[in-house]
Amino acid sequence: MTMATTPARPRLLFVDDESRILMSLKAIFRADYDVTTAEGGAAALEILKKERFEVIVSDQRMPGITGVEVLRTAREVQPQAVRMLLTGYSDLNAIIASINEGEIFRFIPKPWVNGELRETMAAAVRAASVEHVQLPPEPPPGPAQNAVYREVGVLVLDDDPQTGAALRAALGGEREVHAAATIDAALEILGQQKIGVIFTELAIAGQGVGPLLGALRQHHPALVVIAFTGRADASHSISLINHGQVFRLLQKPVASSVLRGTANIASRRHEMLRQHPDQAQRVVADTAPMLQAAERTGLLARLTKFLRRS
Amino acid sequence: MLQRLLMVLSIGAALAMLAVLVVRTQGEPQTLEGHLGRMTALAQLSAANVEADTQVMRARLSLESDAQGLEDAMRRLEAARTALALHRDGLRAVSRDVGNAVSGLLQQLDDKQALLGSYRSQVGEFAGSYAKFGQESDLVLADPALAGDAGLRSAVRRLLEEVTTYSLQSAPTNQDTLDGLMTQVTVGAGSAPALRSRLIALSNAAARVVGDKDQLTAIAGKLGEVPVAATLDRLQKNYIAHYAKDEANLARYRQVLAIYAAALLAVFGLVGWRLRRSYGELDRSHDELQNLNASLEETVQARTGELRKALDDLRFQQAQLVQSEKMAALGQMVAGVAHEINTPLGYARGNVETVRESLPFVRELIEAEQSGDARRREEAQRRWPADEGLAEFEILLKDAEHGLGQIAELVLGLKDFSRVDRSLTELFSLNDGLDTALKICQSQLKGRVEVQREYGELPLVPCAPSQINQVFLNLISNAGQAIEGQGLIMLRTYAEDDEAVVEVQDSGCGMDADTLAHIFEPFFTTKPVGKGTGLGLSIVFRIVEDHRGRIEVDSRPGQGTTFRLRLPLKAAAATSTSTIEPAGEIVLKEAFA
Repeated sequence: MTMATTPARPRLLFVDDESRILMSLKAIFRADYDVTTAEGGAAALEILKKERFEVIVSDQRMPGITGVEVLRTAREVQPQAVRMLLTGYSDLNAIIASINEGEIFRFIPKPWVNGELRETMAAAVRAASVEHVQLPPEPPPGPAQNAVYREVGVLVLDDDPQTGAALRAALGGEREVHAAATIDAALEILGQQKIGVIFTELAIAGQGVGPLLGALRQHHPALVVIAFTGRADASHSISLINHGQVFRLLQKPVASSVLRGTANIASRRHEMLRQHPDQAQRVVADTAPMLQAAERTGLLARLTKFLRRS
Repeated sequence: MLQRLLMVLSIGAALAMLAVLVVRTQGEPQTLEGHLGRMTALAQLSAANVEADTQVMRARLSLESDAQGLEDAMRRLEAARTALALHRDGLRAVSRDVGNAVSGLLQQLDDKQALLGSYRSQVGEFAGSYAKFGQESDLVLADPALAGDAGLRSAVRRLLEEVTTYSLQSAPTNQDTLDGLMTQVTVGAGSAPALRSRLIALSNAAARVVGDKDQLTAIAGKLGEVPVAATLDRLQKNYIAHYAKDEANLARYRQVLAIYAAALLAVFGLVGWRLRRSYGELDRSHDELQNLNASLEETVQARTGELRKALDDLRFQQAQLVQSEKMAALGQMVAGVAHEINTPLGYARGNVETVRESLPFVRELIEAEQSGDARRREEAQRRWPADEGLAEFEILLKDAEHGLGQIAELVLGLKDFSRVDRSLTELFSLNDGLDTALKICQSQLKGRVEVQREYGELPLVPCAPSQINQVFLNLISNAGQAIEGQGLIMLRTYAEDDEAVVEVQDSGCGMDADTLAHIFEPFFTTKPVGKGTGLGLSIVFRIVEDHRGRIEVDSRPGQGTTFRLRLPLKAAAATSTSTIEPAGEIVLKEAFA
């Protein structure tokens, strides 16, 4: 209701091939927001060219142009806008693509609950209110690039030692890569070293890293998280994006060039987040469930202890 | 082969050598008995010879005609000669020289015998003439005419002495004296005629004695010339020397034979030892072979066990794969259905919630209307404009209703599809089955693939609807996957002869002949690893086979594919009940084995 007092109401774009969905969403949000709907991906791309939006919500499965394609284009055309995927069922590839290519804010399952949907929309609108800062361009290869990247510590958390070795090989000798096989070892390194980018396996010794990521996001907003896994599953991936706001989700085995590229872009993002702390608001995650889990396992206390020590 | 030949040759040579040695050591002349016989014969001959010579001497010395000793000696010599003649062959066998010597000896003995005979008769002659001479001399001496002639008388007496001396001496030297005396005697006989005739007779008798004695001496001289003793002696020496040589040879052969036999024994021993060792090795090899055989059997059994286990594992894995294919198909279906349901559910639920959330505003408006408070009514009107709100309610609820209808229809379709509440085999409309399958994979095709249906008039077909639906879903789903981007699927049904024909035609990528040849094989897939088990079409094939139907494929790369399914309209009705049910059972049993 407070939004109603703002002079210009936030503009939302809903994209779906089912008009009844659009009707339904419009009925929910039209009181508080300026709602535009597009019936299908092609129509959405047309509208994106003409109008600017704070939040773009798209269905995934649509004839012709998929939701991931719409959101990827939106990220290029309107990087300021916060993107979300709303879908009844999506295969894993679509989810991973929406994370890596669409850099989505949230993944919303159908059927939704109106109240939760309103809360998520409010969070998205808040994130969108922070001015978007363009990622600095890749410095030309050479000493300058090395100097920039050397500033950002890289941590690998995986009980498979090959992952660390692969990343070291991908990054070459010029950057130091810290490797940890356990969560405690990772906390130790995080406390002692200046870590900007963390590559983590989804489960370490059978224990999910979700709570750790939630807690880190809370205490270490500039940390950029890249998750990778050999056995990705849809619900895990959705949880990673909604509760952990992972920057990228990679599927093993990861090509060396992808590792290097991902590490570089993540390093630049870390630098950007460090220089513009308010940008963290744009990637704020719904960390509550993760934090509760971290609290339960005592991880949060350990984390706080470690980070305080530094 | 060569080795064997050499072996036979060497064995033959060894045996021949042995035979030669045995023959050599067993030579007839070398028997001791023969040797002793020969030696005895020679010795007897020698003794007889000596005896004969002695008797010859004695006969000459005795002036008597009786020569019994000489005759005995002659008989003994004859006997010894005969004995030697018996041994002639044996002696000749010892050596040719000895043989020849024997022949010579025998010849000499014959000569000697003949001479002895002559000697014996001459001894008689001589004894007769000497006796005559004695008588003549007695007559002369008794003559009284002589008594007066002392000189003549002494000459007669000297003649008597000289003749006797001549007769007794073997080589008399008084021949001249005798001649003188005889002449003197003959001359002295002038005195008295009686005496004179007697003196002439005496001289004649003396001359006859001298003549006989000379003949006897000649024969004795001839006898002495026959060298029997020397020849015999040579023969004896020769024979003994030969015998000794033979004996030495024999001894040498015996030695050689003994050494050879020992060597052969040693060789046989060696061969025997080697044979024994070979047998030992053979035994060992045999034992080892038996052990190996035993262990081979064990190994074979173990391998068989392993193979059986592997086969069981494979069967189990295959069953699991079939099951996982079913689960994958199910998952795909659930994914499609979930999306299909979640979309209407999304807006139906959202709409109902929206309406419920608006109810407080509606209640407030009604209460404001009833309260008669204009300002309150205006405020309520502003917050929830009744006309607009009701119109929206109508739309939202109508949509919700539509959504629920959609969901109900989908659930019904699912139920139709699975046929879980129906019997396994029944009369089934293939057209309805196609529609149901189409509904379930609608989400895969929606907006991308156009579906055209050309259904012909088909009688109900006896089949297992859940299985046939699975076939339809698989074929339509494959058709949809074969189409990249936009495309067309044509579903066609018609009756032909006694068969119901269902065609699923797509405008997709098609298949080359190589792929076509394998599509019904289990585990063959063109999808990326992990995307398909490759069992879909093999299960389709099996289901169609169980229904006594056929499935045909036409495909060209780039032009699309047509699957043509033919199911018997009647014929299978009687048998399908019995064939399909067990098939379903088997699949389940395999899957959960």
